[in-house]
Amino acid sequence: MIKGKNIILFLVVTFVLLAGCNENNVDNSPKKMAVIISTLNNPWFVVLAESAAEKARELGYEATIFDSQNNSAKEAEHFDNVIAMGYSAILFNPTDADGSVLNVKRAKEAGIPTFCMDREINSRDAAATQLLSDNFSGCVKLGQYFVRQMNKKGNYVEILGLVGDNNTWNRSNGFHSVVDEFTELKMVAQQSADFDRNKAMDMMETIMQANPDIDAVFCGNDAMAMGAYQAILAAGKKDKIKVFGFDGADDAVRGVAEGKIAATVMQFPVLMAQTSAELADQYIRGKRDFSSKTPVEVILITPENVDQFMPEK
Amino acid sequence: MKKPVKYGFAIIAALIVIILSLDIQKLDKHNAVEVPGDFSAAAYTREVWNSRMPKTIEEAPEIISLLKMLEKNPGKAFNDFGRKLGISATYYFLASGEGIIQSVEEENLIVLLKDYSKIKLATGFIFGNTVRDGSGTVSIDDFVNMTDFNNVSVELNKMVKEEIVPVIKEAAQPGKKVNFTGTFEINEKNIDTGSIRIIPVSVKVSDGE
Repeated sequence: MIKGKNIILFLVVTFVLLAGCNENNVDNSPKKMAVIISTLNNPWFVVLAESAAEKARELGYEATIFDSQNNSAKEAEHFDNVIAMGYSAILFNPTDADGSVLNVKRAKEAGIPTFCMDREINSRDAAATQLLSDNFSGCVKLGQYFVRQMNKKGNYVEILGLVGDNNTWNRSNGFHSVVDEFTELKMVAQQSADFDRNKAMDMMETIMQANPDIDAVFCGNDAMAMGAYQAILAAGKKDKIKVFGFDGADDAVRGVAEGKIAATVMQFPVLMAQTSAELADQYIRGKRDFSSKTPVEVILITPENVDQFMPEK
Repeated sequence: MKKPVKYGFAIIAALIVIILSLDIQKLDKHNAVEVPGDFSAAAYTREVWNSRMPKTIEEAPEIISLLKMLEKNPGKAFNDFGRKLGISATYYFLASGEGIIQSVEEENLIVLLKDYSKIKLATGFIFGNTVRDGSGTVSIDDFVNMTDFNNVSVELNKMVKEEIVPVIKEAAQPGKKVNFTGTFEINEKNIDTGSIRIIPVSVKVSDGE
């Protein structure tokens, strides 16, 4: 009898230990998707977050939005919580292309797939897939238009976004892959304004004081383009300096129609967010053969085609 | 239960727990650490240009029949010969053909094909992903980030500018015959085969008939 008890005890202990090693515990509670966003202090990312959460809810999931406030430590905390709380998938807009990889890998190890939206992480296989605006191609198109508008010569300024974000460099590299071939186009200043409108305005004021002969400014997003335009307007140079942006934000598209902005490139955050939620749902249902990256085409908006893209009033 | 048997069971249980706790990887997989910035786009592209591009050129469809298919049955043309990247309305194609140079412009040759349709053969302002994505020689899944993937486009365009365009510029004159293989793009929402601009990846200019 004692022997029998020992065997039962041994089997129970072994079962408990083995069950503890199994990551795929059976869970009948409603499935949840987490939407972890780099910052909600920018309307563009608010649209991205809310569109992702709304689509997840439409698909039958509970969805919660976590704001990383552009802070990688806060982002890591969110991942800790999401892993501990047993979410089924993460729709993720990272704060840093390199720094965020570890968080995504931790989620993967915990059996939670991550779907990057708009911003990239430097990894082939940490995320289930990454839906990204094709920033490089967009800025190649913008660069070509810029060269034509400038008649292949003149002085220009570049205002960059966040330097730790791959999108910043994909936009800048796409632009320069075209513009740098024209030796009479000279970049007189290149500085980062962190995708921030007010910073870009202050920066443009300072740059114009140091360089009175500027013909154009290329900004890594529309918020900075609108900030730069304000500075140019205040300096009385709106007819001399052409402003180029990126994003397709409502005020910038209207700016193209009104002649304030020379061109912008339209991205599709709602499409990216909704598709990410759909792919996460497919993953949860068993699909696995995703491409590591899925670029989403962007469109050059100029005075020639802006009427097709005017926002509703 | 005898003590040795009890200890035996305990050891086996402990071993099972330890083994299930381990993540065993092949050494080569473990060593394949992704290091952004470790990638040489120039060396990679040279390998693509020398090894993969010639085979692709051999298999390129003929331009006149491809353009006719695009006009009459675009769905089949996109499906059979088009390539696109991610979520996009732009399709990229590779095609080969021959024609007579009608005029030489600053950034293009105007080439008259056998069916009297015209195409532009690019000799300047060569940018973007048309060569990379039209040739189908490069897969996005092979890259750690978009920067590396995009730099391959820059290098492929550089190859065209340094190795193909000079050959054209040296020999191209109105009336001469040109055999070419190249890539072009078409937007599925606006199929206009009358404004095709081909970026050449292989070209031969000879005296016309």
